[in-house]
Amino acid sequence: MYRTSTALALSMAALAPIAADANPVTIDVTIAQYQGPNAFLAMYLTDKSGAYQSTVWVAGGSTRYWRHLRTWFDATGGQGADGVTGASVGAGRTLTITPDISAAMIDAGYVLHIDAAAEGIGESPNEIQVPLTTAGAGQPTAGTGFIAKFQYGL
Amino acid sequence: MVRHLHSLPGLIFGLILLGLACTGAILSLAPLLDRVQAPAVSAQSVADVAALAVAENPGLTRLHRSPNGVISASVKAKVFFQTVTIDPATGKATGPAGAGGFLDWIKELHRSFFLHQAGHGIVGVAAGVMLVMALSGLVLLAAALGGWRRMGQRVRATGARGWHARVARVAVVGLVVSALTGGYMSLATFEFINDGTQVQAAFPDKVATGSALAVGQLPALQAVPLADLRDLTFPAAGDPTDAFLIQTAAGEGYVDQVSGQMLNWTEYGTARQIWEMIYKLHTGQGLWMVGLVLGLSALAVPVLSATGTAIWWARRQAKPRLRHTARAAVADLVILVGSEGGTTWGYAAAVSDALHQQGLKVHVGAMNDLGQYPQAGGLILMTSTYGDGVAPASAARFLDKLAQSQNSLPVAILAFGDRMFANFCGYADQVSAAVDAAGWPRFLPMARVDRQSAADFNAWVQDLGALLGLTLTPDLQIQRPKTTKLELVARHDYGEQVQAPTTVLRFQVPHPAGWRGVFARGPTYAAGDLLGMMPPGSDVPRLYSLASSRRDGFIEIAVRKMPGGVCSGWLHDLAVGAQIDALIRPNPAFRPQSQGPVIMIAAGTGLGPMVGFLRSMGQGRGAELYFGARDPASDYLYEQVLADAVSQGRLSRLTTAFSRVQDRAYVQDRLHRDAAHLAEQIKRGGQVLVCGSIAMARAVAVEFESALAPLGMSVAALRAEGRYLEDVY
Repeated sequence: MYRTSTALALSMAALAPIAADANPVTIDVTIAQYQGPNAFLAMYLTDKSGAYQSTVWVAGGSTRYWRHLRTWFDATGGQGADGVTGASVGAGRTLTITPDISAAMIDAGYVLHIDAAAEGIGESPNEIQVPLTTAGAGQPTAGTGFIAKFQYGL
Repeated sequence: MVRHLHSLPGLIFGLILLGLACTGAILSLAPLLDRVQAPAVSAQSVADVAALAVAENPGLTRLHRSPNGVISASVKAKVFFQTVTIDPATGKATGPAGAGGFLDWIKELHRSFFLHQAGHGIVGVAAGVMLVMALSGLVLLAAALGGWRRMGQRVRATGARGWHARVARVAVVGLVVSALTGGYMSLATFEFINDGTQVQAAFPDKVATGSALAVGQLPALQAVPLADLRDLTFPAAGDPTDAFLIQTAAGEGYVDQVSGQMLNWTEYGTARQIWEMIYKLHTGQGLWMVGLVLGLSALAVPVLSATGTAIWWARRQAKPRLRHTARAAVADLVILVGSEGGTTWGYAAAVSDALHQQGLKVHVGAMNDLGQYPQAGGLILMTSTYGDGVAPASAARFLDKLAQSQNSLPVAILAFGDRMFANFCGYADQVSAAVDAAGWPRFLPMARVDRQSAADFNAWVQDLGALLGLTLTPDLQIQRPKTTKLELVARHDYGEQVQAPTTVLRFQVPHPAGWRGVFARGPTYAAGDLLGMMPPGSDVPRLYSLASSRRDGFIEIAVRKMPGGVCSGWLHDLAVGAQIDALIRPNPAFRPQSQGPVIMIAAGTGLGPMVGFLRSMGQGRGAELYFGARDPASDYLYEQVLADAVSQGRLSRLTTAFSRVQDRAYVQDRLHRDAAHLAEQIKRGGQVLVCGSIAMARAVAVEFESALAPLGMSVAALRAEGRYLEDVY
């Protein structure tokens, strides 16, 4: 109980200043058509030096599968991330999120990465790797594994 | 209480459980299919197979070995992944692996009904419901059979009830295992139970730099035999900082691409081992025989759902519509009912209505609801007995309530039961004793109604009316069983000369004309069942034991003409070709055992069911018959049939006793003479079947009691085991 409330307080505190200059970015990820269990996704940001910055979203709440989202899990030092998780995404479905990404991160060398995996099918680390730029907004791309279509809008 | 615990969740979760059971039964075949596919066990190491597989399958990202030994690989294709099975000897792909197949679709249905997290939750709750139903069902079955020690005994109930009990008894162990293990896995999914999966090797802080070794050259992988492999995940292509992850049954670790050394090897803990054992039990993975047993048990669920629903519906239908009942506080007379299936309520309603017509205020309730009745002058307890002397559902708490009660009322008890049970009206006897012990007076002696006999019931109602000075005409709304039209095709008369006129009547079901005859099945019956017939102008059926089974193709009874007997007189006057309506009542309690010696003892028309048994008895079974009549020249029924049974070996010993000839004797005299032989047969597991008059059955029981005494056994003990059966009249 104590731990939970502390974690909650910390994340609230961390969110507060960002919220002030939040620039809602919309991200759409469409999963490929395949037969099998839902896909797990991890989206995270690296800065211009390539260093891990923050976790944007994790689709798949069960922590035991997190390590299969390999580059992200390693980047967090094997910790994963709390508070930015949702359900895993079924084949052919589209996940739409509006995470809090600050305006200062656009056109500043930040790169959005997506790791994907599905139980018994395979792992696809770093399937998407896209710099966050004004020019790149609205340009669809595709991965070669689980992600049939990816696009972000500002 | 237990009944509600059993039927309510069953009705609510029926379809979900049905879905889980059917998909589970299909999935139980997977381990067997897997095992058939699995390659022969080889001495190869993980490094050997990985090297071969990588060479044959560019883009390989993961190698997996199923608990049954099938090797599969995930291969990154140009678009998406392919999962293929791998021949470990060559590394070549041999075909698509299970993923994406029919079984995977079924598996997802089984695990979550395609409802993701919510579906996993529903399935978890359903596992709990299954467990509750299995355990409550066991309690009910034990109660119906007369105790936990009698769980192995023959189920006497017929129809849906009988099948429900028989199928459930076989399947319950498998269902409990499936529900327990499934529930455990569900709790682990939601992290209420520690399944040990959080024990994971940490990714190494540092990996060696340099050029990567070929996978076949990695010493850490060379050290792991293929048989130990669970999963080998390859490093991300072109990422020198990544490492192999190898998982075995014992633990997991990372393998350096450059040095080939094992890094951060971590043993799985006990929690993980327990989880894996439970996973194996539930899925049959690696235990394919267990899987098949659980799958077969799961197939019982559709049967149990159907029969269970039928039982529930029948019970609902049997609930009578009580009219004109008064509140407890103002009632002149109170009727409390102890009922399991609901039939007894029908009798209570009939009595209540008849009393209401005479201006009495009657309160009707369950025996469990015994309370205060300030205005009442009397209390009528109408109770059935469940199984072998157990309280029926609506009376389960009655004895406790009675013990706590402060006041007392004059009581009358009407007991409903089945004479075929060893403990006829056993629960009513307990109630009667408790009422006496509590010092409550009686306003009528206890009466018994055998197998819903309308005659027994009406006699009691007349007694009640006489006592109250009222004319009671109960309108009994008990559903009449369906009757069958029978045609008398032959009759054979005996015994006229010895004042025991007896006739053997053979009926057949008239074959319907035209297309309906093609589909007509006719009734199902077996020797020893009862044929009920109502003489014209009477609505009380008289019962006669059947001397034939369905396979004989006719329905035969032996009828002794009783002086002044309405039904027997009418039957004796029937001419060949006459048609009558009759009903068949199953009597599964009175049957010869399927193995071991059978000693049949009959007098007069009691020979009927015995002849029926002999007609379908196997040869050399060691069946014996003691038959008593008056004169072999006059009332020796079935003489030729018995002679044939002896010559064909279906009857190994025939002993007769005649009472109107020289050296007159009764069957009990023959039993007395053969006491040592009878004791020997009982010792060998023999079973006794007695059919005849009450007086004859008593005399037979006395002889057996003394024959069994030297063995330290008793008739009562044999009765309890179902080895001493009586059909008396």
